[in-house]
Amino acid sequence: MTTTNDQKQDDQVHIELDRNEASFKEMFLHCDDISYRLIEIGTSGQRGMVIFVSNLVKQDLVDAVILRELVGGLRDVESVSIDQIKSQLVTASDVRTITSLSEAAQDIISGRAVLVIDHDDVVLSMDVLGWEHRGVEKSENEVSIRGSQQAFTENLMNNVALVRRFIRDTRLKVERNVIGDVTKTPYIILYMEGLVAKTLVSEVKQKLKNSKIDKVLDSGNLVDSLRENIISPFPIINRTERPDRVAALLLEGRVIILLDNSPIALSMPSLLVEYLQVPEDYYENYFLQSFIRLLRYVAFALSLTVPSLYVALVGYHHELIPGSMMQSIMSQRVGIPLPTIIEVFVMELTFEVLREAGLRLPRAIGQAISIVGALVIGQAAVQAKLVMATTVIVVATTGITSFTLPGYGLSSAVRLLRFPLLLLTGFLGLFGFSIGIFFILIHLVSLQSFGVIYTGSLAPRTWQDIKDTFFRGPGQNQIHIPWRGARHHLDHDEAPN
Amino acid sequence: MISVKQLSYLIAAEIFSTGILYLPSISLKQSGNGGWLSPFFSLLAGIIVILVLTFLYQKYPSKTLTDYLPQLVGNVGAKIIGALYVLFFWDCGLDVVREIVGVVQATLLPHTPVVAICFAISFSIIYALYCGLESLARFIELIYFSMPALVIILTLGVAGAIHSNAYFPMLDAGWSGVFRGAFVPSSWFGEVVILAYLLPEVSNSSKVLSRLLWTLVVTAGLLSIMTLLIIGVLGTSEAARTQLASFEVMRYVQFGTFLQHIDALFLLPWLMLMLIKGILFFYVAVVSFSQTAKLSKPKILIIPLVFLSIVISHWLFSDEFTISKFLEIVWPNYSLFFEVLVPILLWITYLIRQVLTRKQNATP
Repeated sequence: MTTTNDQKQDDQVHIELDRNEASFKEMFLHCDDISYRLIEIGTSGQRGMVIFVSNLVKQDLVDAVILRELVGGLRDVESVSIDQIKSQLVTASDVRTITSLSEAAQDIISGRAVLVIDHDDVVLSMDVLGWEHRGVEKSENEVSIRGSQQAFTENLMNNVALVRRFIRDTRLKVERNVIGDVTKTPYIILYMEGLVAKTLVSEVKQKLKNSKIDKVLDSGNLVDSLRENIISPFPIINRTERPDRVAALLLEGRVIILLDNSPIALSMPSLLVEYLQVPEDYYENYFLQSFIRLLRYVAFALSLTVPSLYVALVGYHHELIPGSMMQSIMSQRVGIPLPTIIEVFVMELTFEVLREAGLRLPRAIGQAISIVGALVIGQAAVQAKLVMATTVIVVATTGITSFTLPGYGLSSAVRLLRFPLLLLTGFLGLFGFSIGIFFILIHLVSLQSFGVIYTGSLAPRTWQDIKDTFFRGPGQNQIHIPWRGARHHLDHDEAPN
Repeated sequence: MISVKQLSYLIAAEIFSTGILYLPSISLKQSGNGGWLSPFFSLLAGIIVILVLTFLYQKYPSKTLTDYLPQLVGNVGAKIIGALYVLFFWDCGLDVVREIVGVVQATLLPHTPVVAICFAISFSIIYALYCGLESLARFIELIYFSMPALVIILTLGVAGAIHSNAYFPMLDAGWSGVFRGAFVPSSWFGEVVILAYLLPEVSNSSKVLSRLLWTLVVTAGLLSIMTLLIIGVLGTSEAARTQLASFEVMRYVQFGTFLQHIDALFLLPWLMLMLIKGILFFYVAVVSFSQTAKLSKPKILIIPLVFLSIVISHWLFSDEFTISKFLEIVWPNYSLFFEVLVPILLWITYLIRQVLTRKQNATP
């Protein structure tokens, strides 16, 4: 008990500046980026010290708002207290007083300036944040032709502001907190009060609170704590870098998490169909967008099944292939050393390697890789009679169809599942294929994202579901919670009409 | 909890999956070209079972058969009947697995070892059972349309191959033939007895009765259309000689000159529906077992029950011929006992008990 009391007292801001200074210097030992600026206040020789991290604060602001006011404004006064400084002198908008040294230290490394003075046992913490950051740029990973082109940046509060510009409503709630025992990264939970289920917000908060993570460097680090025990290749937490998409998701009753230093927002709960939709669907002509959306569903199915179906047909069930086509395939097959399954498997694997290589290299070389990979190797392999030309076409089709999937999370799940499905089909033909599809489907329908059934609207219950699942019907400008028909334990009774 | 709609799809899949493959060839042996009428008579077994079970469920709401058996037949009787039902459901599941294996081997994978097929099926069933009944219900919502679609596509695909004279003279085996042809398939309609364990899982059971009756009628209609197609394409006598007449008809499907011989594709939805049927039976077997034996964790039964059934089915049925003979000759006799007779007896017991208690109350 005494030890805790002692610790508490040690952590208290002292009345003498020297002791405080010593404490800070001990905490910031070997931290050369901390600046200590000693000043004299008033006529009685009272001293003050402003402590901050040089490049996290805006130097001009420190000079103008704090130092000039303190030194200039107190020339005729005998002595002052922190409260007087707070209310009369400092012009920064966000200031607060602190009595704990560790809390003050936390503020300093978070980019605030802290003022300590003689004869007062509180310190003043002022927001003078101003580090270098990237400006708002065009979204690169979620490209759209129509609609806002902005993307989030690494600056947390800027990102919130970007969302606020889309939803100017007091019901948009912004709750700030910190996560990561070591990194102490700030994050923000956004939700629309009235649209979101209260249980959902508290569930997300609870999960983040209970998560024992030391480091949070990107919003991706949070996903594992939020997913808990769900073992699945499918993404059950959506991610986006577009503020307009975040706004749309918020208006469908979702909870959004924004993390400092991460330009990617997380959204939950998420449904499977979300990964096949883009914001543009709602901005463009609905006839066209319905067609394109349907196309995406087909592409999704194809990208998962084309290689396996090909293996099943060529390897097991020739009779399903029309006669003339079979002739052409058979003529290519002559002299090919590998069985179809291995041929396709190796080609798919090569494709994945090329894709990864193209992604990691600088853009100029990346393109070269794809040309060398696709054209040169593909063509050479066919000419060398190592693989069939049809196989190359099949692998290429798979690749292209997988690029049409807007949600990165879903397309990576498909990439991953393609291989086990291929193996199953390779061993058991169409039977293995159907067993594989059965596994995938039953897994999908058993998934839940924060209490919402993942495949909810795929088995439509209402006209609204049909209108907004496979098609993009007209009149989608009303608030609609997509899982209201498929709700599980979420309580939407508080939702407005 | 599952919805009434999902329940009806599950029941339809349960009847349709075996029905579409085995019903025509089995019933046509007796019924002649009036075989398309047989499903509507087989339907009666299903209707009786549904009426009796929903009646009992109304009297004992939120309770499974195992739960209310002691109140009807006493503790010892309940244990015996409960155990018999466990065996019956487990046997149904086992038969389904063997039927799938038989068809897959006969049509898709003639050279693959049975063990490989068995393992693939049992893993699917085990995984689905771990996912739970709700997942299965959601799964059927995704694929239920394949039942009408299968029949419609088949109708369009074989329309050119139908010989209309096969339908005349109508009812060449007479009404008695139609009734005899309805006997074996009635055991598949009687399989709705699993409702005794599914009804407590339904969220809003007020509309169950009418919805289920409609489901039965629609399913019988689909099977009837299927039989009509088979009679038209293969002719009655040829169809009666063929093991899997429906599959033979699928071979005739032709769309232009490009899409031919697509029979294997029809087996994909059938396989899924059949897996659902198997899963339903194993689910009910697990539930009834755990309730009869008062186990707290039913999931531990899943793996042993499924794997044991694989071994036993392999041992009982050596080939496709044995299965279809079993389905035709042995199966109806004991399955109808569990499906129709026992529920009716339980219903009568309930009525007698009601009368007795009323008398007892009146005498003092």
